Amino acid sequence: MGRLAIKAENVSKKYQIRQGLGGLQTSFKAILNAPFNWLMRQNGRYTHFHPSETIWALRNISFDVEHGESIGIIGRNGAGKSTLLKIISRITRPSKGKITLYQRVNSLLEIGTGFNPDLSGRENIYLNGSFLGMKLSEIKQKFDEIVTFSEIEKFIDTPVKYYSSGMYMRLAFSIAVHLTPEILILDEVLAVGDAGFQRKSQEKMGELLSSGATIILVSHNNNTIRNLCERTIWLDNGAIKMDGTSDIVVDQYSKFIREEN
Amino acid sequence: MVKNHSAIPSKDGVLVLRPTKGWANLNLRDLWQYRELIYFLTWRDIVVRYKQTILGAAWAIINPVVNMIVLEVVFGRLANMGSEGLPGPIFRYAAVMPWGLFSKALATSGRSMLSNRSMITKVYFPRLIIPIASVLGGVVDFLISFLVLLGMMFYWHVAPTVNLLALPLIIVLALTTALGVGLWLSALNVLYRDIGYILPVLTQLLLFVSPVGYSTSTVGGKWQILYSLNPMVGVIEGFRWAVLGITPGTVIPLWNLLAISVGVSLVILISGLFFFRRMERTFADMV
Ligand SMILES: Nc1ncnc2c1ncn2[C@@H]1O[C@H](COP(=O)(O)OP(=O)(O)O)[C@@H](O)[C@H]1O
Ligand SMILES: [Mg+2]
Repeated sequence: MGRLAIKAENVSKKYQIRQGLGGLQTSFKAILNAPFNWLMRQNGRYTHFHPSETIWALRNISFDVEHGESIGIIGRNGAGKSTLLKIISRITRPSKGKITLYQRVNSLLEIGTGFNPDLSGRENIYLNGSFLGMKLSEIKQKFDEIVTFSEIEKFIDTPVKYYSSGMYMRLAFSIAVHLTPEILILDEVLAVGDAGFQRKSQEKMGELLSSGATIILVSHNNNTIRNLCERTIWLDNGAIKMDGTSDIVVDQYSKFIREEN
Repeated sequence: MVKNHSAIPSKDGVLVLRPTKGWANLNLRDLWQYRELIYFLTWRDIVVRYKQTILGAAWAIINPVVNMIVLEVVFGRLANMGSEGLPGPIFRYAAVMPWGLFSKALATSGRSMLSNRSMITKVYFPRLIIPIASVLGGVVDFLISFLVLLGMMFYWHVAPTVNLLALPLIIVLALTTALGVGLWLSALNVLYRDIGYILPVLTQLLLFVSPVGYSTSTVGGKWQILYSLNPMVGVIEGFRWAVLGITPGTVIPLWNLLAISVGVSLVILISGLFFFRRMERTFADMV
């Protein structure tokens, strides 16, 4: 067994859906309704008013990730894939269970987080790099490389609101692939740009992998998963349905989806 | 063995993520590790604000001057309230400056968690950075507005005194007060969107119970202690004392007013920090 990178033990995540507008209005409603609800309960009757509804987005998830492993995560919409990545990225906390991180995590849950339309490409590289956890010195050092990779040299001092969506995505993605993560978390962000740019990005991911980085990636593209990941976890309705070699899990999942339709 | 909250664990550092209950520790070390992001966010807020307006930095002068004129007309001319022996405009401008810093900080930090929603739900960083950067973003405007004060001091022959040396401390007090209130408002605004609508009204009310248009000595003697529970009283009178060298003719000495303000300000800041940290873990799920 190699060294552990991530250990997840019985992780569950509960979301409260607030009804209506939320906030004061709901609070007032809850207060006003409380006596009626109480009376109804006394009569043994159910009430229509629920202050909030709960969703278990993850149920009892456990898995180990080793150093340098690349893991794909698949599952239908709403299966809990993003929620799992958000917990590993420290954006939200688990409601039950625990996750131990043995390495530094960099997450890319969205392309261009924190991009500001009024700022130039150059300014956004600094801002976005900083959001992604890069040090100023690191951004300075990689600046030229990022710009070259993104293929937008000529527009680097133009506000990004004037970029085409392709340019915008390429710039944002270039910053992200120049992170030097120990663990890299990706949520459906690999399909950016034209075919050439996508190939370049996948190559960059391959380089990261061979340099020993650990990668967890959510993708709806079975080929991306097969190419980049040895192992795949299939989430269904918040629980792990299957965890094994990518080829096998992806095949089973495709069959499951086909049969369902 | 377990470095519980370190943002970027060292090579052998281990981070444990588990449900949290009750009060969280402040984890200022995490904040320190992300200090560059505080700088970048502050810088972004300033640059974007100036790029979006035609007059840009000129607003940092136009705003306080217009406010000063309105206050001078209402409190100086119509209500005929004194200005501690100084020309009304300079007396009121010296209050409009720290007031502007405070009210702008409330406005931006109050809605800061919502305006930065896309980042909060997509990337980890200590959330405290957001209200801190919104408060710091006002400092540049504040410094620019000094130019007008200098001009007025020159025009009315008000010479600076050694009190000026204490100015940085007064500015820190102003920022502390703004941050404390800002922390409460930004966290509450995630829970209750209505805060966004209450905020302008609240700021307007605070303006009238702060010595911006008038002097604290106008307030009846026995009310002065109660009045100075508003920490902006100490900030504003302290600012006038530092830049104009005047002490309000209050029953309670200026030092006591300042001490009360410092105390109240610290209570708001510390409680705000803990309240914010406690609410923080639900932000990403709720905003
Ligand atoms: N902030 C939230 N508040 C309430 N429910 C949420 C929130 N985020 C996700 N959910 C719910 O949790 C479930 C899992 O969502 P998600 O992790 O985004 O799924 P996936 O990424 O696999 O499509 C869905 O039912 C979704 O509606
Ligand atoms: Mg998703």
